[in-house]
Amino acid sequence: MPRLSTSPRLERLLMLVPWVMAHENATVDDVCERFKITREDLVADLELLFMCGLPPFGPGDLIEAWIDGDHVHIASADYLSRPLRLTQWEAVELLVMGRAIASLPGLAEAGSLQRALAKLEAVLSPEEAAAASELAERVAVELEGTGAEPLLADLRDAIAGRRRLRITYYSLGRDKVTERSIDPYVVFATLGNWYVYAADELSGEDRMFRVDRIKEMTSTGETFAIPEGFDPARVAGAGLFVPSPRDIEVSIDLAPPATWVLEVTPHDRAETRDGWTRMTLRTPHLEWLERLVLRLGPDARVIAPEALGERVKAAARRALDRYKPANRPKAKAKKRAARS
Amino acid sequence: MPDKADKTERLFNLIALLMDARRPVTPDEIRKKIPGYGGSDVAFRRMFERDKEELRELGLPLELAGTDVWEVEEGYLIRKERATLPELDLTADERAALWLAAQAWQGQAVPGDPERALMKLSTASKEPDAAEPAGGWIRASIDASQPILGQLLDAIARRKKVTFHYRGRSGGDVEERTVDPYALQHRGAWYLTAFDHARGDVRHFKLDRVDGKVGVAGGREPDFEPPAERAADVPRGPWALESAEQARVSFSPDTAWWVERRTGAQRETERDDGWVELTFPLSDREMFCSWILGFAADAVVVAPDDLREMVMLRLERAAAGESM
Repeated sequence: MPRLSTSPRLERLLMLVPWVMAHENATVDDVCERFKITREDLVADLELLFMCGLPPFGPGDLIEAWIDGDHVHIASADYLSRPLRLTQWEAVELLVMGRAIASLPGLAEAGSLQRALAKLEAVLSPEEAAAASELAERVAVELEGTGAEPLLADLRDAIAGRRRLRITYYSLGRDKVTERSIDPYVVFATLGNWYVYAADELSGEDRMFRVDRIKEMTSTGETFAIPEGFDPARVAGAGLFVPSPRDIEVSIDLAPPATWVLEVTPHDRAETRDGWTRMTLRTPHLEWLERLVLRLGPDARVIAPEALGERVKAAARRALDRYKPANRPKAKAKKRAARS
Repeated sequence: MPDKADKTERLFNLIALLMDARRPVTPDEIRKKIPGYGGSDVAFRRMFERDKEELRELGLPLELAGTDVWEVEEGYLIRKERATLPELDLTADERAALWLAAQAWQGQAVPGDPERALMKLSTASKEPDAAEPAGGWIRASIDASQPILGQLLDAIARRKKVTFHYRGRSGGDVEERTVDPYALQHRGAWYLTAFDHARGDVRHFKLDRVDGKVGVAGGREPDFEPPAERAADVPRGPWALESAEQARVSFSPDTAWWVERRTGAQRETERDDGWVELTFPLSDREMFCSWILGFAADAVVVAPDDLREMVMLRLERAAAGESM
């Protein structure tokens, strides 16, 4: 059941009329921006409305819709002075996502969100509310459980106060722990993880950091400014792959049991031949691929670069060394309880 | 054939008439009063039936009632108080918080438009806002672009059986599955929890592995009754599968803190050199082994012995270049 299946324009008009009537000073730009339409679309909508109204469609029965200078006006449509009720799915979608966000620990907005959801539920009829909550039980979105949650509240405060942070970061891509200062701009969740987009002092670039991999975080006491024109929506919607001049092209053949990798790894191409799928991607670091190939074992074959194949062998040898008797965990290891 | 603008105009006029009406309007009156309902009686009836269906899809509560106390004639009306939102007192804070939720749905596959919903609520508020709240510090984006998501939501709501082609995790074989869809869960990706008819059991299906379209059973009657109890969640990872057996793994100081944070695993011991031993339930050995191999030299299996040997064997093969 795709959205707006039959009459997207009618749905828009049913919203446009009460919206314009509620916003007496709305300009053409306001309306176009809010409804994501062009000026031509708006003019066409108003012309159509101008032909609509009540029988017998005399001068006093028709809707008045016009643009005066830069302002949009709609009148003589009292029957549609209020927005329509939420459809069942509109209510369910807001409830499901609202609850997921409100359950994030330490979120300052959680209180407002819970109050808003309560008000939303209050305007549903008892039957609508029962149906919506039954459905909301069957659709769950989970934003927690990633390990990032304990840091979200502090990140939020740092972004709000434009406070520079000193972080200890474990980068899986480079298999390295680094200390660096970051200016955090926005936090976003995608593909089951939380990321912070920040200006990174160490690389001199804007970078994305996995929040759960930030081991420690303190405020440096300095402040920063978020650049003019920075658009958090664009950053959060752009995906995780950021091309870099240091990128290396990598090709790995995946056997059918390993094709799940395609679901979680940004890649340029995937072509299947003779049962193997060749995944091609670009990355500035090979360390994470070393680990991925190791993990896949016989279900992955490195095609390029050759260096990656060599690195996997070396990584396997280093890991094997850990299993030598000298490296076996000692029996005299101290209990945590004994330490505290 | 009337063009689309004519149809929009006709439907809009019909809504206006029914919302403005004080008493039910008979189909005859509708036909006479609203331009665009031409043609024969049969053509009118067919057109009017379709229009009524569209009004219902828009969520407009169309009522059929007697036109007078004797109920000789029946007509339609839309009660304004049932069709429109009452006044709300959403504060600016509350609207901004709701906006966080609305914008998190990324894509057109969900059956309702969450931003439209928010616009309705905002317009019904005492002090409607002209603009969206300014860009916030936090963003969640949940993929709602796959059309099958919308199909499955609809099937769950209407309790309709669905059929689809599914690629299992451990192989490329695509099999047809017929299931009763109970619930959808987003945990990094979308999963369907459903009763699998062929297997006679409740299973989780990752939407990314559904090949092509979902076939929804026809008819309006529900096909099944979902269990009252909520189905088990999708496991978070190989470390979270339920089992009485346990695996002990020690992790390097660089990674141990992260593994603890991520998995919530229980800490057994900490060695003098900072390595930390954690325990996990051990269910699927193949999955667990693969997960541990992904830590390369940062993880060492301590127990059980067969798991330890499995990991060592895989490492030996990789070191010899056999797996590549």
